Amino acid sequence: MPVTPDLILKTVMRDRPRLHGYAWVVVGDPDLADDVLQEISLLALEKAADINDEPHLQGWLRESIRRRGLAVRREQFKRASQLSEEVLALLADAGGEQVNESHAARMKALRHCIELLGDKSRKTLALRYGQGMKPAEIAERTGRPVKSIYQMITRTHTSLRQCILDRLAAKGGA
Amino acid sequence: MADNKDHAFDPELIEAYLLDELTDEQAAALESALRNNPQAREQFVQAVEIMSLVREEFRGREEQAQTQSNEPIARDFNKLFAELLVQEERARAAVVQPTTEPVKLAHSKEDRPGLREVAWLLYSFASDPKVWAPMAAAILFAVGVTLAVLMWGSGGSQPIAQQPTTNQPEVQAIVATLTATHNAAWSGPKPDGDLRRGAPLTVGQQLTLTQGFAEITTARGAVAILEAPATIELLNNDNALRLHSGKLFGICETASSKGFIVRTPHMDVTDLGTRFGVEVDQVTGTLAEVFDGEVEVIATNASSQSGQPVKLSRGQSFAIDATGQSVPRNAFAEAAFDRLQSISSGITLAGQVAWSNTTPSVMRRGGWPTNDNLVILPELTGYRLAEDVITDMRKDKALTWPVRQNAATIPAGTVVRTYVLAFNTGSGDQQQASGSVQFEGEIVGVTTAEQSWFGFIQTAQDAADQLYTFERRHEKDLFPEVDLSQNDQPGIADKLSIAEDGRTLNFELSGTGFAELMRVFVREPANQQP
Repeated sequence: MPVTPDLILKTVMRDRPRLHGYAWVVVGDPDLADDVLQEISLLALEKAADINDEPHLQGWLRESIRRRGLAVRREQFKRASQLSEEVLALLADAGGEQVNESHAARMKALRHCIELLGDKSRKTLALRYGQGMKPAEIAERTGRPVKSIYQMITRTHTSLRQCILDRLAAKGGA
Repeated sequence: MADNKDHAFDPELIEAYLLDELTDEQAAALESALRNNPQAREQFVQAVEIMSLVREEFRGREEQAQTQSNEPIARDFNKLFAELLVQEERARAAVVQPTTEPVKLAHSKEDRPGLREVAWLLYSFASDPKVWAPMAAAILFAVGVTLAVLMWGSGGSQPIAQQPTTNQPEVQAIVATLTATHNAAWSGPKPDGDLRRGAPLTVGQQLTLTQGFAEITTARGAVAILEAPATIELLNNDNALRLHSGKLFGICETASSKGFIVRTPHMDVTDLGTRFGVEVDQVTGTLAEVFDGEVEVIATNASSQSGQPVKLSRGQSFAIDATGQSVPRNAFAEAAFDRLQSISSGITLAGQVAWSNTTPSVMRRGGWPTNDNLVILPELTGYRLAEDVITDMRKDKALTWPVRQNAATIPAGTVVRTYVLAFNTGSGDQQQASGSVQFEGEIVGVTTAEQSWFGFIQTAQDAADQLYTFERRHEKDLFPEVDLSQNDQPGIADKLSIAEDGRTLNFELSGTGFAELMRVFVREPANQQP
């Protein structure tokens, strides 16, 4: 029995960070990744009759993102990915986070965790993702070494991830 | 930073990868870890997932701050997605009724400058350093103008000229931007000085290009490349223009640019997501040709088919003669737009050389003899060589018979674009072709082959039929299957040379009954990245 538009919508919304993240890895640009995800989401609705169930849908989405992302990358004359297409395909099959919560719940947990960060970390993330600055630019702006910016971003990601998992687990267990 | 022994990797490499800032050693370490270690892949995917989540949150905060409003921004994907569905349906309805303007998609590429514009300008940077500074300013100006127009017209209604109030002077709406020029000269009311790259173009403005090429980008991102002589007029519409005369090559690769309309004296051509050419000639009439995707043509001044939409797909054309009589399904004449196609790719042709986006006829089954031009076919983009490639020539070395005395090796790992160039003399008479091709980047090597009319051409022809097609030219798996530099084939005769700039291939070819084939390897320009 083919998937319904409602299931497609729920799956895309729930898995959005994962799907967008994968598109970002393939296409090399977070904004282009937005476009690819949007395009593939619409395509999924068109192809709903050909998609059997949710596992099939998840695989279909990742594979479609990979193919479309590579095509977009070429169309945009971007340099080839620094990862081979074989590895990009392997990444599509990696499990990622086991998500049961809604996207809204994860965003709520994230906001809570961001508030727990130090001021420097929060400002660094704002510059990196809010304003799209590269670590080198952030380093120049803040007068800190580039290496330390990389380290801070990476450490912050790690702590945010753990914080979100803890938060969601606590909510789930409550 | 990474440890190859146990296939672990430094998490900082993820951020560096997403920024395309890995060194070769780091890229190799990351590749190895991800290839061999499932746990590393899980770690990588989870990290990118959290980055995506964090980016979404901070992008939302930034947009909220920019609006200087307390109203929450609709970052909820639920709403975005639902809105998208509604608008997509409207856009589909617009396709059914071509006179209805398509609807701007939410959250789409019009939110930022077109990469094509940047790529073009960067290409021009390389060719003329004197224009770096003004062009950089032009980029910023063009982006600013485009965003301003988008914000102004964000309501989605396409006739966008503002009605002047009684107390305000009339202001003509900006509907497009002059995003690039190449050896351009203009005539008409606007002096050349006002038509620099980045110049905003307003409703009602008429431009006559007397020399060279010019690229105009509409406020919704459609790209129109003009070849002189040509005259256009900007309309009261942010995704349309009128072509009074000359040649125009349209490129609509974003959702927002879909629906771009070219109005001509005899027909309206509406893009449905494509690359197409339109030519208006007072003597021969109006011609529309589709190179990719689809367009819809409505004859506006033809007695028999006026008002009836005709859909054209890739390889199809539609013509109306100067008397207004329609000539449907006119023979496709690719060469009519070959210079525009090449210039849209950043390549400049001179002499007896023609551009092809489809299988060059010299390689097409039953297509012999064909051309007395050198035909250039774009093949691969951004391809990382899987192994060393032995070439017949390199920079500063002319190639004359006998060949391979100037052989050089392009090392594995080099990222290249490739082009196949073919010259088929076909008939018994000696034919010649000379000219040059200036590529968009450094030529790192050229391989060659010469194939006789009665020799192994059947094999080559069969292979060409399978391999050199538009659909497959970007498929990487075709590449290792074709080796024009096989040792048991003689190399090309005549003369090839790479000019001092390292980007220009000069050729002087002649022959009788031979097909001369070349594959040019161009280093993928690093500065093409946005």
